Amino acid sequence: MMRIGTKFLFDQGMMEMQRQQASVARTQQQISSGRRVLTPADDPIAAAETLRTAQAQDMNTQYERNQTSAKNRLSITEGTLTTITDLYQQIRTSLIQTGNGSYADQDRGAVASALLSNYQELIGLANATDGGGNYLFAGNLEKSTPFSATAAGAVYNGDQGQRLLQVADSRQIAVGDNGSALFERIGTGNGVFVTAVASGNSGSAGIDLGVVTNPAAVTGHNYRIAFSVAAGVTTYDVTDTTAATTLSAGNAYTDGAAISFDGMRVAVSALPNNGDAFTLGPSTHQSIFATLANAITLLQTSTATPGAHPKLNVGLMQSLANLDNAFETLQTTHTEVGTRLAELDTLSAVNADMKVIYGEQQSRQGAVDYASAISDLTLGQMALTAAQQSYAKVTKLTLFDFI
Amino acid sequence: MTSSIFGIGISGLSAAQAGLLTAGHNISNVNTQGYNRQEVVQTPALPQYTGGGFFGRGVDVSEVRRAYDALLEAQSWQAQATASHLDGFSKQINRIDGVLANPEVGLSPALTAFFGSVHDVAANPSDAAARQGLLSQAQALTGRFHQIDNQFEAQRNDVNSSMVAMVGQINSISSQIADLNGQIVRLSSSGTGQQLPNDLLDKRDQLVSNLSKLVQAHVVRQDSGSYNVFLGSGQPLVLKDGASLLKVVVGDEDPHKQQVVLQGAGTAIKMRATDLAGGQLGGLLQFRDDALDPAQNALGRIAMALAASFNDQHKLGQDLSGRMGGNLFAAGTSQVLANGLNTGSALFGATITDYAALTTSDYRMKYVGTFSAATTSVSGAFTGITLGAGETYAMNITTSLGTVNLFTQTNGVVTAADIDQALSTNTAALAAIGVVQTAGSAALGTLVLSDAAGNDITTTVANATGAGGFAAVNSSFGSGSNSTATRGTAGSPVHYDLTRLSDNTVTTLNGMPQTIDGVTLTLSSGTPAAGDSFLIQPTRIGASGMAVLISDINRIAAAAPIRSSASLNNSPGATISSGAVNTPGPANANLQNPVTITFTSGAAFNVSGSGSGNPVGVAYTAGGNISYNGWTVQISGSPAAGDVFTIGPNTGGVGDNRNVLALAALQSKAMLVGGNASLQSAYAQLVSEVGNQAQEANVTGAAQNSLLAGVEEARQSASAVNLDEEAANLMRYQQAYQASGKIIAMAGQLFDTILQLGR
Repeated sequence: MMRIGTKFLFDQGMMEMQRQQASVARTQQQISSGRRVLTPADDPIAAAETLRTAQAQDMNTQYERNQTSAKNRLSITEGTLTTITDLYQQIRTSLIQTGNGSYADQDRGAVASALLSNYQELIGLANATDGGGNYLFAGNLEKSTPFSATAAGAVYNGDQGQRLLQVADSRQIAVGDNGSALFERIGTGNGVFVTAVASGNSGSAGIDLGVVTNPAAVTGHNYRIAFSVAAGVTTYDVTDTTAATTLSAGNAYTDGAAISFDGMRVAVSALPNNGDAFTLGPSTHQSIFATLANAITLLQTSTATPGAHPKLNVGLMQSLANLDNAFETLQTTHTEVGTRLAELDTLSAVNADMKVIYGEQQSRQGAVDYASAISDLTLGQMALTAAQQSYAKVTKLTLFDFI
Repeated sequence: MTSSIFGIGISGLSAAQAGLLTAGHNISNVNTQGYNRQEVVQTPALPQYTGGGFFGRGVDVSEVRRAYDALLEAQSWQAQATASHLDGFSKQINRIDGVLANPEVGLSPALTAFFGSVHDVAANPSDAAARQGLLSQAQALTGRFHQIDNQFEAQRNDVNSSMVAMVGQINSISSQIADLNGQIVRLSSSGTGQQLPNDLLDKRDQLVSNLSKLVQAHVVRQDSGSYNVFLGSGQPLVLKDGASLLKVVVGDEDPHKQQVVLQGAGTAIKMRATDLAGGQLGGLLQFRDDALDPAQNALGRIAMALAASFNDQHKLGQDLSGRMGGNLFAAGTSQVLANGLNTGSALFGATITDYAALTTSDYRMKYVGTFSAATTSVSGAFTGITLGAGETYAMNITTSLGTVNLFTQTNGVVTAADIDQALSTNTAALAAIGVVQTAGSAALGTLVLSDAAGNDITTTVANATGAGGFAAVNSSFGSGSNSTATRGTAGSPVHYDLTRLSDNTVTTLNGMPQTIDGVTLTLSSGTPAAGDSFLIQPTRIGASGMAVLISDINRIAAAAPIRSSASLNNSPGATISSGAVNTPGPANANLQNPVTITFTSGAAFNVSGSGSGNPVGVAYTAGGNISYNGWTVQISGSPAAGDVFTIGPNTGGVGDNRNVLALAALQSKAMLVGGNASLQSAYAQLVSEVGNQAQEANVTGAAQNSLLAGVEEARQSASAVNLDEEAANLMRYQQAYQASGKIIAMAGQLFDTILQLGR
């Protein structure tokens, strides 16, 4: 027969009630804190996973911040690039205007003045800053003014650095574009070679920009097309001045006809005088500021001297070509910036999704399930009440009541 | 006849009285801890023989017995010790468990906030606010490391002071047990026959039960009635009426860890944690060794890895003023503690050389001493042996480190040259088992083999098919008649036994310096004496020693120290990357020297610049790495002859964030646990380890408590007072008393009858 020690009966009843109470208190704590895992001991694996998910979530949030920061900077850049695009259009229109044959020196002077103010405006735009006073187009030297104006254009003081920002686990996006690539590194002429009127020309003949017909044959040398007029017959010689070789001599000249050599084709039109010449040189880089400065100088030069008109026209044509090249560079960058902004939008959307997913994970791993917790609480309360009532009843039973 | 009726009645009265007394004693002790129910044992008195047979003479109270089951009592002590052990462990570990993963006070949020501030600097490298944010977060992170470490340290101090308190209690209990032993022996043997002082026995059992709560005690009952009490592995705590004292002293291995010694008659015996297993004291010690030390080490490891990796990368960057970066963090260093009992003067240093290999364990290194090398020398020329048909000759050299088969030959003649040849081709294998050929050769007739491990060299010659003809060979190596074995010390390597405390793996180290588990050990000064021991704690103080060394926001090295550029006149076909400094550091001395790369054709380039070695005609691979002076750039596309690229100092590059991007990447770099865990995962691992230990302790503790309750129930079922039972006893003995009274009354009446007859 099982004897029950009276003390044991009391002790055991008390212990059971305490256990029930602890369980109810725990459930209550879970409900009030919203956490299923109160300490790692409750579920060590979930606790570690929660930490990992929390880190992923935090990094996600950090990327979101970085994306916003990148977007801000790229938006400012994009706005500036749009303004510059408009300015380029304006300059282009002005330059095309000057091609008008009826323009006198004074008219061109007026255009030159307009271009001068455009030039000033462009310098200002190239020196644009972001909200924090950092220059947008100075590369990594963002505290020093990237372009300072000089008589021949402008000097670039920045570097060729490009800032990247971590916007996703394995994606760094560029948030800066340096002024050197944008304004300085612009090809001249048609991009391969540049035509020019020799300085002593007196005839009315001009030369076009020329085209490349066979890229493989292009040498990158300097050439000279020299004209001679003898007895009313105009002929020309083509010389490779770099190699000091005559490519052809005594060719008959036809106004506007193509002259082709070494993979290049140019056309000379109107009437060259004896001794007039045109030169071809390899394309180099010229900053947009230098192009503008040259154009202004050209427009301010008097056309009274013989042969000045072809120089003006060819010069303006080259300026226009350079401007177009600059425009192209600008558009390339502009498109890139737009693409980056679009990518950032996509990344933001992904981030937002991940945020929800991580949030769900976190709640699965560590958050309390209220329905089951409250049901646990009710159950616990019932058990506790039952334990208390039965304790009171059982401990009341004693034989001493009857003797 | 009537007088004996009186006698019977009186014996019944006193027996009932004894029953009532005992029931009353039981009732009044119903709530006394450790009290065992007592009962009166009644026996019929010796009968009187008459011609008519044996007549009973009433009842005797032969003893007052306590209801006691020695087996159940012992089980209860055992269960109590285990439950208290788990309870002690679980109380402590639940404290750190609560701290580690708390979203407010854990390390995780501080770590994330810190790297967030690094990202903010990457977004705005020259912004003073972002830079200040980084420094503030670095301070906050350092503060968090300190907080958690302080919590660990506070618990270590708690453990130390609890040890003192518990040892005090143990001493008090053991001397009480000794006292009781004396009293019980005296009382049981002082003419009371077999009667036992029940209440003293109860008291002593209760003391043992109290002792079991503190430490696991083994009780051996003596025939004399005294208890001899021994601790876990047989150290005597109480012998008869004498008790040994336990004492808490400063640990000779680690002054921060107090240890318990048993102050016996002679010298103090150092008690290991395993000797004190069971009970709350055992739980405390287990907590300290198995949970607290590894947890603090794990935290230190994260701190040290963070500081080292961050500093290394930071030093490869350039700050706002154009200087190279310095250390941003300081962290605690690895420490080697010389045991207080060491007799040698040696001091060792430890530095971490590989964080991926680093564990969270401590190490004990014991200096075994200089090898006393065993030398086996052979004299007398080896004459060779001709193998008979089907005979196999195999020569094996065996030391404590292993066996090497020198060669096996199945036919022909084994010559001295064969043996020399085998020795020379197996040099490496022999060295691996500690055998070095120090002199001579078999052909010369003197051959000396030394065994660095201090063991005799055994050479076995196996003959697969028969025994004939090998005696001469056998005698040439080892124990034969014409060989001598000598022991010497000159030039032998020193020898240490290194024990990794987490799993007790022992590694033998021959000489210093040595690298084990990413920790490089060096003998910094002095000479060790044989038996000296050193405790190596690679990361213990890593977190507490953490500090931020930079307070000037300009000193944050966000930029890379170099930049690349392409000449304006280059052909449009080729581009150069911005360039990166090679890792790991330190930075190349020529790092910032300007270097020019000039293409001589589309397929080759010349390099010029101080430190580059000015190579010419280097072949070009599009997108390939080009490294000089500690940096790497890539040129891609199709360059043309004459294209020029330059790499030079990043003067004024305040907007550059290349280095800070590299710093931010450290957040997810797997740099710990064999290159598998980032800082954050290492922390998560710590959290889950502690969580697992706590969970295990809680679950096992709950199970043990219900086991204890079960044992206690069984014990109480046998021994405890039940008031209903006692109430029934009261009634029973009351009735017996009344009945005996009636017997006396009736005997009186009988006597009256006789008296009336005489009137």
